[in-house]
This record gives sequence, C-alpha cells and structure tokens, in this order.
Amino acid sequence: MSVRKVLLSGELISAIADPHSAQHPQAAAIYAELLNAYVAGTDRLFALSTDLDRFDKATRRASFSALVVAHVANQHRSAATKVNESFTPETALALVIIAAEKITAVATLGDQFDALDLEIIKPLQSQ
Amino acid sequence: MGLYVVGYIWWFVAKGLIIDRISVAISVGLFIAIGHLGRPLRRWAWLVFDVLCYCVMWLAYEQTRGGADRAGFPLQVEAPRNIDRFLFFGTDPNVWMQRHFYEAHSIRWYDKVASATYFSHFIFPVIALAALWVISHREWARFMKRFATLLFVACTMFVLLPTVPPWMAADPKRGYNILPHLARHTGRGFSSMGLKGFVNKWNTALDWGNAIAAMPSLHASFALFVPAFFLPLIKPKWLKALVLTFPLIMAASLVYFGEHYVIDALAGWTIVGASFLFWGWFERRQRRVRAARALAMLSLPLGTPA
Repeated sequence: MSVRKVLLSGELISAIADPHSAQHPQAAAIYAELLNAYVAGTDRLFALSTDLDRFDKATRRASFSALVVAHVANQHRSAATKVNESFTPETALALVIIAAEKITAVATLGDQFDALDLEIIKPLQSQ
Repeated sequence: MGLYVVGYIWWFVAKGLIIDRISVAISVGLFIAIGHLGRPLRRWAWLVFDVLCYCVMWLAYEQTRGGADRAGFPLQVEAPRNIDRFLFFGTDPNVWMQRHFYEAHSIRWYDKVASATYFSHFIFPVIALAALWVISHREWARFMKRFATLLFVACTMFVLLPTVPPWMAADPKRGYNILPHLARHTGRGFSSMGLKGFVNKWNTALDWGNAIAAMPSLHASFALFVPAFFLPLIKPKWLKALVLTFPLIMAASLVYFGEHYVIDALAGWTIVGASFLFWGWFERRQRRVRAARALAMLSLPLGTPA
C-alpha cells in the first residue's frame, strides 16, 4: 500500500488552530478529511516545524499530534534563499522541505502552490 | 558511499564477512555516518541516540544469551525432538533430510544454497536497518520496534527454555544420544565457493555464542522478519510469493544442517507474527487516538465526512 505524503501549509494550520478565523470551517473540513485518511493509513501528514512552533505544547498535542514535524534546519533556510524569487520566503522553505521529504501533495487554502507539479488539496468551493 | 561499498566488498572478499557485533556496529556506523553527510545537526543527534539504543539492544541480547547458563532453568533436551516427531508422524526431520540429501564426500548445489542462506542471517537484517536509517527514520523506528520486541521475547525464551539443538543432541561426545549422528556441515557450502575466511569468522562467532539458545531460531525469525517488513512495498503477487520462499529455504537449511528443530523455526515465526500484529494494532490505535483528539478540538467526531 503506497502512502501519500501531504504537507499542510502554514496558512491552513493557522486557520485550523484559530476558530475565529473566517477560513476555519474550510480548513477544519480539509483537516477532518485528511485525518480520516491518516487513520486509514493512506496519508502521512507533514507540517513545517516553523509553522508548528507558533503554538504552545498543549495546542500542538491536542490538535497536531497526527502531523509529522518536518524540522527546518539552517541547510533548508539556506536552500530556500536559492529558490525562484517569485515565491515568498515561507513558500520557498516549504518547497525545500517538500523536496527533502519527497512530499507529493499540499493541503492549502491559497494558490501559492498551484503552478507546481504537486497534488493540491483545497476547499471544494475554491477549486 | 560508493567508496564505502567498494571497501566493504573488498573486506568481504579479503577477510571474510563481518559477523561479530562490534565489527558490525562499526561498519554500520560508518555506513550511516556517510549516508548522513550534509544533513542537519538534529539528524546527527538522532543518529547518536539511535546508535546508542541499537548498541544497548545488542548488548542486552548478548548478555541474556550468556545469562541463560547462569539462570539454571532446566535444559530442554527431548521436548523439541518429540514435538518434531509428533509434527512429522514419528520422523525426525533433521535425520530424514541428512539421510536423503547429505553426501559426506561431495558438495551439491543445494549445500551451497543452504549455506549461503544460512549466512545471509548475519547481513540481511543489518543491511535493512542501515538502509532504512538512511532512507527513512520513521520506517527505521517501525522496524526497530518490531525487531527489539522479537529479540526481547527470544532472549526471554533463551533464559526460560535453554534448548539443546539437534547437532548437540546427536553428538556422542555430549552424551545425550537422542538422535542418530548428524553432520554439522553448515560452512561447507561456503567453503566450497572459496569463502574460507567467512567460515573461519563464523567458527569464532560460534565460540562466543550460547549453543543452547536454540528456541526460538533467530535465523528463521530474521529470515521471515525482513521480507515481511518490506512485503507491503512489493506489488506483484508472484514476487511476494517468491520473497516468502526465503524463510522456508532458511528453515529447511537449518533443519538440514542440524542447527535447529522445525519447532524452533515455527516458534521464531510465531514471535515475528505476534510482534507485527502487536505493533500494527498499536500504531493503528495511536493514529485513531491522535486523530480523535484533533477532531475533538474541531468539535467533529472521528469518521466525519468532510
């Protein structure tokens, strides 16, 4: 059985964690779907350490313990500076981690990954 | 990495296969270290921790093998032979195989296959562990949990059930005399292929080992363990079936050489199966718990369609 590796983008994680965010319902819906695939063993979920470090331990344990933490090191930051300038620094860093971890899908709310050869998972209404 | 592989092959040809734990640890450590060149410091810290865990596991294993002598549990001499006889309707599989296949003055092709299969025990699990460490730490951890469980149960059994192997039970010098004489010709096939150093090393390794740590057979266990771990990655059914013939060939070799009874191999396979079942269940449960916790934060029950 092949396992799909999915990176949750920083904005998706923020929206999941913030129930007051306008995008929270959409983010929660995507996350619920991914969690079900995670339980079934068909998806492995990743997040950047820089995206998770913003939350306290209790929040991380409660909401994000299903995620594999992709630790961002200096090498990754250095490699991110060499990524095409059309990407934001956060997206460039995500791209470096995507390459390092051989991730094939990205769950996101925005369109920053649309031009890339990746499976993009978005809320239905914005697809 | 290329230089390492060349060096390893040179060592194997010139000095024999690396078998003893310390040399294996050094060679594996070198392989992993080379595989980690250029990786973040955090990964190197993991590496140190993991190597320590690995060394502690093997040291505990070696100590337990020796501890079996000191614990003083009764030696199992006839029980495994009797179980084999029961399973094979009164026939001793070791004796039957040697009578039908063993030729004292000639080495047949199956002697070489059996010998090569036997010695693969010393490299396959280690190669799998080292490769997994370099490729995927997560998969390495999954492998190690199952592997350590297998070793723990096996070591416990070595202490509680010290068992005389068939070659010893048949050796007139030992005085058990519960089987007709069996030739212990394990290294013959490899010697015939010009790998004398390999066999010499093995003889040395045997001197260090605990000869009555026969139940369960770790040779049979490892021979099933490694293919079973990688089986989900293999797509064609014929290839899966082919891979699973390896533990069967190993078990047949062990019985043919008089190294183990059939029941030793069956016990080893049972422990492998139990270890996989337990950790598979535990990991599924862990996933459910984590997902349920996250969904609870979203006020959604598990299994909620998005």
